[in-house]
Amino acid sequence: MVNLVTSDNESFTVEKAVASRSVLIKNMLEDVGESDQPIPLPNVTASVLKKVLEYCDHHKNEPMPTSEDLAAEDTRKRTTDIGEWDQKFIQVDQEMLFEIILAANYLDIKPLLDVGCKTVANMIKGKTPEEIRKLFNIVNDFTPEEEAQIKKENEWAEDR
Amino acid sequence: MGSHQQHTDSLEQALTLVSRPGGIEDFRMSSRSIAQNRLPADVLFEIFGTSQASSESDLFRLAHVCLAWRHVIHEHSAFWSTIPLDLGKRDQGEKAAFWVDRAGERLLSIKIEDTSRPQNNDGDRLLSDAPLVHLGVILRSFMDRWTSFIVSASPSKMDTILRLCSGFTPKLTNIKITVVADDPHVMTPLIVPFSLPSDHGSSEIVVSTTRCLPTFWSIGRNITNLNIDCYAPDFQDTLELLRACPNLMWCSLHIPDSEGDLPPAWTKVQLPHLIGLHMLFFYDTLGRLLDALEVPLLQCLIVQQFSWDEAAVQAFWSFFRRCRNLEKIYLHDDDHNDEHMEHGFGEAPITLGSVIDLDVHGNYIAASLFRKLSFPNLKKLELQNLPFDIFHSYASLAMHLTEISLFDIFDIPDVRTPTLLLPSLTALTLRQSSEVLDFLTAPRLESLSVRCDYDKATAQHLGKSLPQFLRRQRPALRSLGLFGWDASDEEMIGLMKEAPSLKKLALHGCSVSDDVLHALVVPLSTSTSVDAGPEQEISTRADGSCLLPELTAVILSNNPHITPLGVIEFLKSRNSRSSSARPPPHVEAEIIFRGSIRAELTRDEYDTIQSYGGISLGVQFAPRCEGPE
Repeated sequence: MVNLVTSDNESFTVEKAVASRSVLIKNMLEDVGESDQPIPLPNVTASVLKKVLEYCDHHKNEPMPTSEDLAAEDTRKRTTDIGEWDQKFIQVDQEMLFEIILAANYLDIKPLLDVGCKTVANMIKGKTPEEIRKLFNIVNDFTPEEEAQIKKENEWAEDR
Repeated sequence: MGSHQQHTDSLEQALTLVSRPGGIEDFRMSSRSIAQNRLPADVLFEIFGTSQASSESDLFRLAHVCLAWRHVIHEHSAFWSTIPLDLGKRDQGEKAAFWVDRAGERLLSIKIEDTSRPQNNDGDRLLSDAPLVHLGVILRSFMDRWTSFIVSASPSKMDTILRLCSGFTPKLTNIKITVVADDPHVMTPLIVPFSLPSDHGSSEIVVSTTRCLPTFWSIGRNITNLNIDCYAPDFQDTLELLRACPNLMWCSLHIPDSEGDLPPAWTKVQLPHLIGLHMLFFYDTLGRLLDALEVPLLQCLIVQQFSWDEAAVQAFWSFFRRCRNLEKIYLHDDDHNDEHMEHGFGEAPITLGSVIDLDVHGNYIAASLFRKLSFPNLKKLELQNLPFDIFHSYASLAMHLTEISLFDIFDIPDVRTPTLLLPSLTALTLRQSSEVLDFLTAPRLESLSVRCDYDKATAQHLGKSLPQFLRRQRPALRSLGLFGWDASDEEMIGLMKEAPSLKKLALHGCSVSDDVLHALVVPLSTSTSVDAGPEQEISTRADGSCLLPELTAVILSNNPHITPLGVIEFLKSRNSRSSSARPPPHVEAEIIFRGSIRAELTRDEYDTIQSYGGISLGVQFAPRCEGPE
């Protein structure tokens, strides 16, 4: 078993196979060898880690993506398809979605990061910049010069 | 010190925001936006990469959302390597230059479409030329980095772009040209002015063109895969096109009604590397083209939509005589020649020893050719509309046949004895040819599919011959599919008794009733208590076993006398949790009640059937609402 401690000081004891879905934790475990020392995760809160561990537990028996898989993924045309279980898992509020993405990135769990990124990609598909800003509470922070350039770029999509 | 500076920067940023109209609200929102402020660049890169894969234009819009997103998109050259252009939009030359600027040193894919309203030719030219020339000049400036060139445009715009883009394209591997014209019969001759340096290596270029007959410069020798879809070019132009591509490996020609004859003096087109040839809609020119080609390594010949006539028979015969490496032959005519007389064909027999896959849709005329051919090493054979003796001679000779499909086989002898031993056969499909079963012994058969198509004579015959066939060899049949069989329940149940190892059963449009499903119910002694009413009580077989104990998949579609109640009873006995030490395997099912006497499936029946898991029903109900309405 592995003991993980979150930024808000909660402790989670999980199977090694579950924790090792995270490449970060897997490497730490390999570095320290057999040890009862808790592993601090200063960038992840308890509520997010709980959700991440739910994902890791569900996928614990699947093979880890190899470096060849990851390289192939870069050259292959990516899709926005998400598995059935993953779709249900990622049906969370927007803040939690982004926290999961951040945690997956920090903990180096590529398949979970993919699920999060695909979910966001699906959310923004076909939307205008204004609609996306509204969706994610994003501020339009372009300078007047940049706005002028964007206006020009938008003309490329106008009929002749 | 650094921390202090950061705070100062943040405060300044906040002050800038709040000083703008509506800035206080913006500031409040910005403090909440993880998507803008906290997602690291590599995560944004992942998200945008996925977005780009689904839509190029989405990525462009994303760069207009906020500064952080724009930076990520603009800083990664990978996002700019495909240049999507639209001739119906403004300033596409400027757009192309902008894209190239951001793509760094990357190889580039050019995708040009035209969403503008079609104009007549003159108007088209008046409106288009100046911006098109600008675009063409920009595109030409980086032709050395093109890896893919895909364009769809009117004849005049296509002509303008291609004339401007002449030059070296050393990295090009993919060309797709579609001429858009109102008249589908338009054929545009088109010079593709891309060329390769004389010391260029052996790159492979894939070319696909629609509604134009291309002429290639020096890239012709590097084209290995050619797909031409074009109406009525001159036949000699077709030959010249092929001659310009001597290293072709795959070629697909959809060229109906070519005109013109071969010149008096001509040499054959040598395609020494061609391994696959696909011809579609060749009628008058079929023979001429086959005669004109020298393709010694051809492995795969596919010819569709042609007419079986004496010329075609002669052309195929002489072509087969020259192509001794053929492995797959697929000949499907247009099915319009209903000739009922066989023609004498006096040429010598040919043995095609390398063919392992033969698929022919023929007629009496075709039969005269196929009597002259033999295929001793066939593994897969599909024959349609040919006489029985051809099948018999092929199957007698080819001892490694694993898969046979026979459709509408005619001239089947009345005296039938099981004279054909097929020791390797594992899959057999028959349509309107079930009498063939009487001739076969196939001890390793695993999959059998028979279509009666509601023919009464076939149905009657099948009722006798199919059980006899199964009894004769006791094959370990795993899959049985029956289509349009007007069989009684007793016949069907008797048949299932002859195939105890079945794992998959498919019944489409058969006349059997729920009694057949009732016979497949697992007896009570091996399943949990089934709370069926007295009228639905499940009978236990006298020997305690059940029919088809290994069944794992069932397809029931459009069988008018099979009802939801019968299906529920069957699935309940198979898929309910069992206390038995050896419960039957879970059965997955695809069920369509269309055409049933009880076509309307109630909501409760739907839910009950779905509750057994792994069931696909050809009907949808909205999910039930939870709680009080």
